[in-house]
Amino acid sequence: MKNSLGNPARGAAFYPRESEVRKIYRVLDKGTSIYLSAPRRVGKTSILKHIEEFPQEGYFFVYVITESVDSENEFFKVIFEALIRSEAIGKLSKLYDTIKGGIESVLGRVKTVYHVEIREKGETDYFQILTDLFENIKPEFGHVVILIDEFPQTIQNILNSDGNEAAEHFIQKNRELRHHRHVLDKIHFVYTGSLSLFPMVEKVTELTAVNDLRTVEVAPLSLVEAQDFLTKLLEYDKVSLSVPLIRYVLEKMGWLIPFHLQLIAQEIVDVFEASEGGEITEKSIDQAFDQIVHLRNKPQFEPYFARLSALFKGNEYNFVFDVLEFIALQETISIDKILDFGVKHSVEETRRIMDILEGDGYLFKSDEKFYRYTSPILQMWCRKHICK
Amino acid sequence: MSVKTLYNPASLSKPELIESFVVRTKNFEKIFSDIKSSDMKYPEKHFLIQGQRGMGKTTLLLRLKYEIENSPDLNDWLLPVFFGEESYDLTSLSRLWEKLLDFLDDALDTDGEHFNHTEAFIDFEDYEKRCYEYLIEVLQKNKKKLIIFFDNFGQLFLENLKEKEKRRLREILMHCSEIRIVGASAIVLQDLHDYSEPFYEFFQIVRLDGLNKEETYQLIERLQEKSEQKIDLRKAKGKIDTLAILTGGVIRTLMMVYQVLLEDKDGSALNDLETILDQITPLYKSRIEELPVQQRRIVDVIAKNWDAISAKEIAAQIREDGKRLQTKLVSAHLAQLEKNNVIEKKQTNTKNHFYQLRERFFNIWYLMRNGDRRDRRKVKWLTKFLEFWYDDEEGMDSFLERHIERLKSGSYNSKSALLLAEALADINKINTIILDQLMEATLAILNEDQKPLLNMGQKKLALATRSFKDGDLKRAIHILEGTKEKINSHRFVLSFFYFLDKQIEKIRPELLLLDDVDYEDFDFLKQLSVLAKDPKLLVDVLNKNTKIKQGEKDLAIGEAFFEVGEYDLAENHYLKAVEAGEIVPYKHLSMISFEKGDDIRAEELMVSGFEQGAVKVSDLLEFYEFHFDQESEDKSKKLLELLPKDNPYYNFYHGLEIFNSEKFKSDKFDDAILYLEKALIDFDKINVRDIKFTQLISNLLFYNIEVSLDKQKLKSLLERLEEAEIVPSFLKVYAAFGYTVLGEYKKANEFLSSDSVLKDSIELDSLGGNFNDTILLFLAKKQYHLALGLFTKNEVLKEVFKPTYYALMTLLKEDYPNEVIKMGEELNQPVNDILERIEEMKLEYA
Repeated sequence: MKNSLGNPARGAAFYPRESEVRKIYRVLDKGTSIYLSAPRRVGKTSILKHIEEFPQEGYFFVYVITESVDSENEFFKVIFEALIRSEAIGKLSKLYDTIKGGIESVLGRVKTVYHVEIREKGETDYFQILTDLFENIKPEFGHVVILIDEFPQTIQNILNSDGNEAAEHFIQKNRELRHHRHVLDKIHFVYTGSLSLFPMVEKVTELTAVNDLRTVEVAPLSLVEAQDFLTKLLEYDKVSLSVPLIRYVLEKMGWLIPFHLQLIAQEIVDVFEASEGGEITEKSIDQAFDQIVHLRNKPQFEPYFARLSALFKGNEYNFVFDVLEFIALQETISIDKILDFGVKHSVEETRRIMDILEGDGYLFKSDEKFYRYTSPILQMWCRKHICK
Repeated sequence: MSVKTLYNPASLSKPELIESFVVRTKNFEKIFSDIKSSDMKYPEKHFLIQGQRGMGKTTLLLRLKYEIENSPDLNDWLLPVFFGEESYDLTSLSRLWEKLLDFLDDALDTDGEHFNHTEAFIDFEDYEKRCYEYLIEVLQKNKKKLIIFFDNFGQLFLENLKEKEKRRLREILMHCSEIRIVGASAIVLQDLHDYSEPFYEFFQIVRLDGLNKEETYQLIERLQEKSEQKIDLRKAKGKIDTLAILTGGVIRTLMMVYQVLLEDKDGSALNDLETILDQITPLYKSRIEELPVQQRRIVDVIAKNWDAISAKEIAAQIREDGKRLQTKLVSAHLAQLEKNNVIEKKQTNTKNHFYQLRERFFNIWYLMRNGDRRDRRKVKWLTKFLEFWYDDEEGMDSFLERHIERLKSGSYNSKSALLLAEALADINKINTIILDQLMEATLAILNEDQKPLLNMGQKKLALATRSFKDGDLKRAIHILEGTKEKINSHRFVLSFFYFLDKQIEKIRPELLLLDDVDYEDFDFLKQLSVLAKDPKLLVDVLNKNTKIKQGEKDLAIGEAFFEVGEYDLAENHYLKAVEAGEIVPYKHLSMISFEKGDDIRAEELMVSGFEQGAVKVSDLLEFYEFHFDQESEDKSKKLLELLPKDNPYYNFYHGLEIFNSEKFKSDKFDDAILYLEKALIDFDKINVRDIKFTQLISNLLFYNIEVSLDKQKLKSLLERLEEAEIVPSFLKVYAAFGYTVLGEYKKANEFLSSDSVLKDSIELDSLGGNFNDTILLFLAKKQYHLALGLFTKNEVLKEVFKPTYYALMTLLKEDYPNEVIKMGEELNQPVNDILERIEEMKLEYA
């Protein structure tokens, strides 16, 4: 299995996440839209692209990424364009002549000749056009699911360029779309993104605006899956590790997300190649771990910590870094110490902040009183490159 | 490969580049095997090659491109595009798509059709998106994929993208399977990449670090293949290793240095280097200007030092508004500069690390472009490289001989010759005779404008001085004798060398050829005629001199006669000088009278000189100090009253007077110390470090050790002693005692074990007592082995200080049981006395 470190894994490089995929279908079968929640780099995008490519019978998926989108109308335009170009719609219209006419009449309003749009007077209202398009899709043809990647980022973009009101409007408009009579029970949405959705929504409006979404969590790999995945990754580069050694690696990693497995696989291969075919021992594994935090992997780690500056400002930001640094050096942090840092930085809502850090996969609570890093690798990186 | 193509690998033909590609082969294989094994059905990972300038990034990109073009498996569907460093207009996403469409028109022979199609998208808000989608459509229709080799990807492209474009790029990198990017990005001074930009995670970073020793060896081995001047690589292994370190393993610097050191037959490599430095100047300049002011100055100091330098040394060289920069502050800046990749730290065992510019080529540029034209530092780097490469005399000599031959061949670039001459001039181990020949050969090919730049006269002087310092006086004389167009400095130095070489007879003819001597050299001239014991020479040289006044001439001539002891002639000229209006040389005239036995006249002269203000009261006091009669002492006392309070010697002589006349440990004695301590401050103001300073310090030390025993003052007095010009043995012993009291035994031992101290302590009873006391204090402080060291160093000590020696042996009897047995019975009592004394001292000096 080829190591696709950095890119969303596709095709043969995708490790089948069967239980996650099953979870998604279970919710979709009930006719609910989803918020796919997971810390960044756990494999959300890969899962979405996978179900788009290999849908279950009766499902039609359309994937869009709206990371660069910074206005409401553009957002719906992106979805509209993706829909009419998608194989899903192609298949639907081929299968069912009835919807063909309907779609064509919608398209008639947006004439496209080699991507040159001949616009009518005024700006096209893509929300309207989109719902018109949905009107033509009949529920008996199957489920159409729109997968929206980087949705929270889009909220942030709109917030940045047009302010709070526009962002709130945008969130409400999405809710409106989900509850639209042409959409309800027929079209479903899966939202995801590397920023957490709920804190983003809370920043702008009430959480009730998204309370119709069902959260599906993407869990790390199980020990068995991780063992299988790592073995396959290494096989590709002609490296083979005994089971005890693989277990040794996994124990050291703690948090078994595909991305970290790809990272360690890359470094093990590197150590193996540098030793020119020498035997791999626990010592070489240790060396590979040390290498993970080499600067060349900066692009993989830096966003982890950089995104915190978008989430937290001023005192809160300083508080977060004090906490992260403290744990990096001391392994754990007690609630008392967190409160102490809170006083130091005049931060009262320490609980909310700790919840975000936990929800976004930085930390977990080992028992009632202590937090530690989800991943020793993140901890190592922080210790080496973030701590003063 | 010429130095110029080192900077533009794209100008090499495809076969040439492939042929010369000998290092970075592992990186190449790794990336290429990834490309080869990818069908690009799904988005593939992108690569970003990073490294300092000159690490081989561009060459690696081109090598990959050529390999794809040459692979039948790939070249029918994968189109490689190369964007070189000169793609300055590639600053937006839409421009990238336009350029790629333009490229496709070429590759697909569509005569501009695709590019022209974008006309239709103009004025649309989503122009970029339309262009992109059209590009993808064209690619899909033609069943082609693109791989973009993008040089300077970070600086030229990424950094210029707008926020929204960056997010678009991330979307595209994540999901586009038609385009793949292999970028290269230079870390010039500061690593400007902001890795928090989310698209970086789609790139696998390939860092090109400096070549290691093995790779450097391979590179040079390949360069050697075409070389005429082959070096024995196995023998040079150590040097190649060092070369790898000195250049930081940067390929381009390595090859440049290699060519300059070994391949440059006509100076063209150095000349090319000049051109390249000019080309690179705007880039480096702007990088420098981006630094905060204080960091700029720190970089300046480090760059000009070339070798690694400590924070403390840096701080010592930087002043801000008349204040030294604090080392702490310098360290903080250094940390920042290190983080930004401008400098690198060389770890040492101690806390003091050394710092140098990370990019050695940048350092070369800095020296060459920021030193003024005559600044020798300009070629410091070249000096260092030459020095280490030709580290044995033989190698250096044959290099020089080769170089001289090349200069004589007539085709050598004169500017390069000048640079090389400057660089070589600073290498100490070069045979000065050959260096002299080289300078002559260099001078011969310079044009009239360049000749003054070589500064031949100064070079000859330097060469001669160096030969002299190397102990080769004959060679120094030879070089100076061979100097054409001698100026006065040459003649003076040459004459001095004649004196040293005992060719006194040659001094006169040489000095007679001097041009009109001016005041600056006047004194040296006088000294030389004194050394030659030929005051008449001074008379002859000054005879036709127009620059110096007659009175001063006579004064100087008088002095010269005075120095050689010809007092009559001296007096004669002194009187002439006085007639001509010069101030009466009272002191000398007084001494002449004194020598003649006319004490009264001598005193008269001093007194009237004093009255005239030409003789200082301190001189007069000194005069009386040589007369130990009561009368003189009384006069001294009176004179003291005359001494004004603001006279810098006021406190000194008052203190001294009490010190000499009062009883030790009396109340008044303490006053003496007050005066003397003030005198120390006075002396500092006018920087007195002569015998008076010695006298002062020794009195203070004496008082401290014998009376007050104030450790803090003692410490500072001992430190002050270091400044004294004269430190006689008795004072050294005092110092040793003082240091022992302070527990600084190593220092104490240094003073005590000096040859003069040992000799004088053995010969002079007065000193011997103090010496012995110091050893006893050693023993009281349990420094048995230091004491033992002294006795072992000089066997005679055992004899002279027998009881002390045996006391030591008693203390060390477990180690040396046989030694105590040798002790005669008559020594029992003295040894016991000493052991008791040691016990007392333990308490006294606890």
